[in-house]
Amino acid sequence: MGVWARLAGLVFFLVLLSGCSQQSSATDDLIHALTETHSALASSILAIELYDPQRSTQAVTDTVLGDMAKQAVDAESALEPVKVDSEQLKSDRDAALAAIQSGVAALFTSRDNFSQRGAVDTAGLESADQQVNDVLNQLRGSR
Amino acid sequence: MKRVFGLALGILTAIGGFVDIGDLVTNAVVGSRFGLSLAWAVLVGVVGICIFAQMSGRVAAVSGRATFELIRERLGPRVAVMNLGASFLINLMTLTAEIGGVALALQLVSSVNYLLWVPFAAIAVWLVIWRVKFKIMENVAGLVGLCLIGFAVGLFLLGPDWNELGRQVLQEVSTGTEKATTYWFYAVALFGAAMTPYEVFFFSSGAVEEGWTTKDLAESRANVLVGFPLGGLLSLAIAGCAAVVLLPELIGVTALSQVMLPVAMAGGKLLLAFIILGVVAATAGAALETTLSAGYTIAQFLGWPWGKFRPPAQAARFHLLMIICLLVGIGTLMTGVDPIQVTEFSVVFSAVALPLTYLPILIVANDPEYMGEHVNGRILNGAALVYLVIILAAALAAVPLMIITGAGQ
Repeated sequence: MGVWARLAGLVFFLVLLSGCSQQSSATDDLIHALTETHSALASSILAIELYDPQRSTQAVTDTVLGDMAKQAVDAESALEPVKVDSEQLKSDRDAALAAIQSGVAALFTSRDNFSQRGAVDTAGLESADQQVNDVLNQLRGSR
Repeated sequence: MKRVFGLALGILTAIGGFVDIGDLVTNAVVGSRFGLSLAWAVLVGVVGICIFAQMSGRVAAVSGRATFELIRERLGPRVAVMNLGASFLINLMTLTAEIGGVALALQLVSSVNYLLWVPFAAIAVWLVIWRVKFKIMENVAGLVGLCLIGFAVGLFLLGPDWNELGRQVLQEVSTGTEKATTYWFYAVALFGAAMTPYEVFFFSSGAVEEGWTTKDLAESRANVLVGFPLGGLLSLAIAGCAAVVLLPELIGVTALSQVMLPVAMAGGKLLLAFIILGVVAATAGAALETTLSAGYTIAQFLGWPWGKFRPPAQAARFHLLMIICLLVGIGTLMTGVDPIQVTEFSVVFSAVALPLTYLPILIVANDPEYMGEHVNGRILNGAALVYLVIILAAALAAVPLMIITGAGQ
């Protein structure tokens, strides 16, 4: 057997090994989705705060808001396959889902308001971010 | 005077041409998640690309032949075809990422969805390859790409705590949620971003395009040894901006638009305009290089006439191949795949494929039949062998780390 074939076999073995060892708990998945939502909300707040004093352009702000709304939707979709096998986990999943959905709603409202009126109040985003952070801290504390 | 100007131009082009979408995205992601604690990986990558590009440029200048001609001749067609397959596919993935990068940058100027810019970006790349002279193409992209120095200006304007940034360089920093495997995944990604194989295909084929001889070796060495490290500093500035503004807010970079936020905070609209221009130039320049590299690799391997120094009619298959690759890139992006994810995969797979091109170049650079008196010296060989070990380790670790971390999630 040639060196290349052995090398390919070794890589394949390592890939299998690492694939089998990949385990992430349901709580990790919830934390990841909440972290992504927080990141999307915080980015949008920053983008609007930079646009208000004319430090950023309309196109950049518009793009950030669009990208972040999509990121939050992806985070929400990532919760669908999370399996819940206990009451505690179900309660955590419901809290995470509610927080993420409020984030998604706030992001879409901001994006639409910005594209229609060119101005947005960050209060809705901040409130949603607070809710996400509360659930995030609660989940991290319970680990 | 003309020689000094040529040298300065070459160095400036190397700086401006160093950063591409892979460097932009990976450095911003790392800065926002790990601060400057992976600066060492950029440093390792920059030294590596200096060794690699310097060897391949010298091989091309001395032998008058480019990478894939020599790989096929030295390794034989069977091994070389495997090498070609891997290198070509990764180059195609990088090409797709770069076209996506141009489109994303144009969205930042226009608010028009990037998918609508993708065909225009690809057609513009084809037109430039078709009509513009090699030297002009290389210099314009590299010089306009220098606008990315705005990231370094932005970092200074942000007025960071330099002691804190220095501390980040020396010890691991994370938001508390990052795992060790994710840290190492991004170390490999940064290494792959700095040492993308297309850079070497383009560098060595460009040497043949421009008719380098042994007289040009000193200039080529200066371009690489001065230009690339300064380009590496730009990469660190991108990470630095993200580390100062985004890391404290726990904002993880997932989109190119987020990379602009620290810039806007630092220098307002003026700096933002400079940076976006730099991003367009850097990604467009890299799209040109990867498209040409796609043509170079196959044409050199199959012995077809190649190069921009020939009129397109005399290198018809070379040009047709590039058009096909651009169409594949457009088609891939039009499926709605995220260009940033394509970029992240391309830099990781670059690390996987690196030994396939590095090893043959190292062998040829030591072969007196090809190189005569210009074979590698002892010190360079020592460093090149150390890098061979690093490259092999990165290549072997890349895919397992990608699976374990879910591509750095």
